[in-house]
Amino acid sequence: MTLQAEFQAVVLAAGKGSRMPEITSGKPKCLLPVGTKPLVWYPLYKLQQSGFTDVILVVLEQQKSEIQSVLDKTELEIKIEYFPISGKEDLGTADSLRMLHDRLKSDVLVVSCDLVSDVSLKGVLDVFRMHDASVASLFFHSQGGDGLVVPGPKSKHKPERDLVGIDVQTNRLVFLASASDFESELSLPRALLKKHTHIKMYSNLVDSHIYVLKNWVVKYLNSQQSFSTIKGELLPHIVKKQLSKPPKVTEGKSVLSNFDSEDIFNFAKEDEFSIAIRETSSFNDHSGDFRGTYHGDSIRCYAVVAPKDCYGVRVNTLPSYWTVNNKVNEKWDKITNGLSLALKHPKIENKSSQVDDKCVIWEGAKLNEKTSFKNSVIGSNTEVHSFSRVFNSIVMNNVTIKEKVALENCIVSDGATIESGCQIKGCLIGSNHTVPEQSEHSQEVLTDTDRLMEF
Amino acid sequence: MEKNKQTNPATKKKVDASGLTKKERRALKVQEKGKQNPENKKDDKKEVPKAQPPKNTEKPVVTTNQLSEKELRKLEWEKKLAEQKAESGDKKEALSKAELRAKRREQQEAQRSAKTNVTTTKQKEQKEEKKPQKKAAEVKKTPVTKKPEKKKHLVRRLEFVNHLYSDATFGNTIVNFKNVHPAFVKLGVQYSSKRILGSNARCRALLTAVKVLIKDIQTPPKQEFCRYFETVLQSCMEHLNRCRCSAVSMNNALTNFKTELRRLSKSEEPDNQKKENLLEVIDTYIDHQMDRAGEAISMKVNEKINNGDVVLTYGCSSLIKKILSDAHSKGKQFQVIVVDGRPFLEGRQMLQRLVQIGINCSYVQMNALCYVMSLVTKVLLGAHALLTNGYVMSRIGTAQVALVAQAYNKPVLVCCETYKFSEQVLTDSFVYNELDDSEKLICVDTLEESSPLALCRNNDNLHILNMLYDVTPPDLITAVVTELAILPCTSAPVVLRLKPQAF
Repeated sequence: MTLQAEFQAVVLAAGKGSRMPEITSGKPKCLLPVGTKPLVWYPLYKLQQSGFTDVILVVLEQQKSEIQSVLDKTELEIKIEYFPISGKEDLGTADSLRMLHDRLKSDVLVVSCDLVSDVSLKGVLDVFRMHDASVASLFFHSQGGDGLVVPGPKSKHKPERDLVGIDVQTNRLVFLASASDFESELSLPRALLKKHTHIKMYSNLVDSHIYVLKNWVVKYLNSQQSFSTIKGELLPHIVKKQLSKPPKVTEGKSVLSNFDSEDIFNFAKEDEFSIAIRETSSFNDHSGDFRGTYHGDSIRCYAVVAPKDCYGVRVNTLPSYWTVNNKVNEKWDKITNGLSLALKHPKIENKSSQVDDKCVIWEGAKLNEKTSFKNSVIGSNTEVHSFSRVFNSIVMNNVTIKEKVALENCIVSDGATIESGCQIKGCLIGSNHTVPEQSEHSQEVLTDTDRLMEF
Repeated sequence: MEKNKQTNPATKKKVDASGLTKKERRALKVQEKGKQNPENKKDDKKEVPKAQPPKNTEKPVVTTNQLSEKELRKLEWEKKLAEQKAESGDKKEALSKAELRAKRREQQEAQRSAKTNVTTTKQKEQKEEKKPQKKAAEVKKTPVTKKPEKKKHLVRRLEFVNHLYSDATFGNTIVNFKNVHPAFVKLGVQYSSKRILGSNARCRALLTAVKVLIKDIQTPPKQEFCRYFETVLQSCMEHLNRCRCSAVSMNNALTNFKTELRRLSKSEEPDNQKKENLLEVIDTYIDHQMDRAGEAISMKVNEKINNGDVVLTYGCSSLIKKILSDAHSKGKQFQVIVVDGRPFLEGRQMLQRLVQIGINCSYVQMNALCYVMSLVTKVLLGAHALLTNGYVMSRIGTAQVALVAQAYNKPVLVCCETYKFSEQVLTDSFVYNELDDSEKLICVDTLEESSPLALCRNNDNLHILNMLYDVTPPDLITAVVTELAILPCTSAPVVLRLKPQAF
């Protein structure tokens, strides 16, 4: 039976990985290897587990064929519709959602490609359904730091912090901003505090970038050309609008003026039946003041905080990529709900005897004799010659590692070549870069310099 | 071994043929050697640590002193023993041995306590270790008996309400339930989370969802619209029933809708026309049975409310709210006392809405009912359903209010639209009821300290039932106000018979 789907899932995989340019210069961010699967596989699998049968994947035009070939090899049952966007204009997440507006007929579940988590989507979806919310978002508690040494030059990785204000009684999201917008002080409107008397302000929550949006939000976005990112601009705007009242229709003025038709409250109008049901139902989401349910707001934004034992990481910076690779195989059962984990792909040529249990080896890798591997990821079609050792590293596809190379704590991007006799510790090696013979490097970025700057 | 001796003095030690323990034998040997050669002290040092393996490294240094003291003591005792042997029998030997051991223990304890206090705590720890070991042993002994107890704890059910427990499972799907329209999925979540509470509200919400379903449905080519719609509606209703039991009002509304659907299936109109007809059916049902009936009831009760009345109401009924707001807008001066009951505390919503209108209200909880009842002039109650034998099914607590009102001789009026009349016959609240989460009764969100009932969670002998409805007998009710007339309770079957076959 073909009934209209309750939610349509959109996965945003057109990000350029601008926070970690050293490893994303030659490779789409969504295809970075995390354990045995590419990064974008994790949100897609989670959507599949939740019951979605198709998903729209937003990708960059030039990366589409690569992503498609990689995803076809993974055995995903979910039907993926690729939506290419041009990489020449600098399009944000909201821009890509705007371009999709005619395909989106129902409420939208927006997921970013870089989320690795074991959380269930039921919590945020049930809150969305229960309160007939306009926006529902999911937050994680921050995972403790591992103290792992991140490869590359030592730089203070300042994590981007979000300030999230949640009304304790009703779980409504009343304040959302990035901490970098404020220098030393944060001011809240008095009306907000009068309305929501008990607000908890968090600065250490990780925004999962899972947003459930009502259909009218997409239509509103289509009418406003000024928003370019969902998280940075669209959401804070809608959260602020919760506090405003719809403009009163004064008699004598024409209702069809341009300004009125673009007002958010025109889009967010609730139908009279919902209002009638709300009036007759003896439910109130808050108590303590003599106001009606939801204070009569037609725009309602909710924030769901995942339980503390949930694991959720956004893989958009180098330290998070490094830690997630370390932890993903431990958390595999929880993340995938019992999918079998095959660390070593069957089609590899493994002549090495010292490959430990934690190593992940992708298809077509060639490991010669007398090599030693500990806790590493070896990408597909990578060849490692004799007398080399790879410890604690991530080696991506089509890499050649010659003899007597010692690699420790490194990330080697696609197509690189490491000539014999190198001793490399804690470095980031860019794609298609050749590290000359007998070189020793520690905590550096080795790359062809013209790759880093992209205009 | 020494520690064991100190902690368990009562345990017997292994005694060999000569009637001496190992230690005593060793001591004897040592004494002999000591007597012979003072040089052999070094050997003694070696011998003693070897003979007593579980010793700290510090001890060999100290044991020489102990040994030397021991030697002296033992020499003394041996002399005494030898003397006593000649004099008395074995008892005294035993006593002297016991005294020997006791004295040795005391001296060792004193020395150790003189050294550090840590050693005594170690003994305490050992005692504690022994206790949990014992407990663990007990637990290991009775794993079988404990497990079924734990299982009972999780799924504790009372036998006589076993039929009321619901086992709702949705499997693993979180979205895109097969065969269930999204509006019904949303409705299911809203019902189970008690976001929509009250029989009128639930019925209205259900009918709105059915309207959405009518608008969205696309009949597959080879099937007839009405039959296909019925199957779709059936699967949606099954989903809703899993979320929460249907209300009587919902069932009646659906029965009416289904008869209309069957009537339409015989006609030859195109599908679009049928859809419009169905939408109209639903709209008229809501209009006639809910809105207009509410108006009619309100007018009838308005005549009965006089100026200066004190009206008591229980919980939150949308109909009672409408009646009171209409009476107030017509200028009548009256007061309202709202009685509230846990765990829903719906009375607060009633209070909020009445105060917003501007009615003079008081608010009490159930325990103050007798106190306020003497001030009351009439009692207005809402109903979930009216049963054929005249009983009124309503929110739990209503029967209590009616009982106290009757004791004080106050008139009780139950206001109920005719579409809530049911063909069921119930005389008690157990046969047909709904159970809610018992945790809600234990938690008290209005108190800051933890609830006094929190201890009951662990008590196996105490079960907590959170029932939602109760049944009020007709002799406690003065009259039932319906849109047709003000009737005595027992006239319910007459109404059912006279109303057209909408039920």
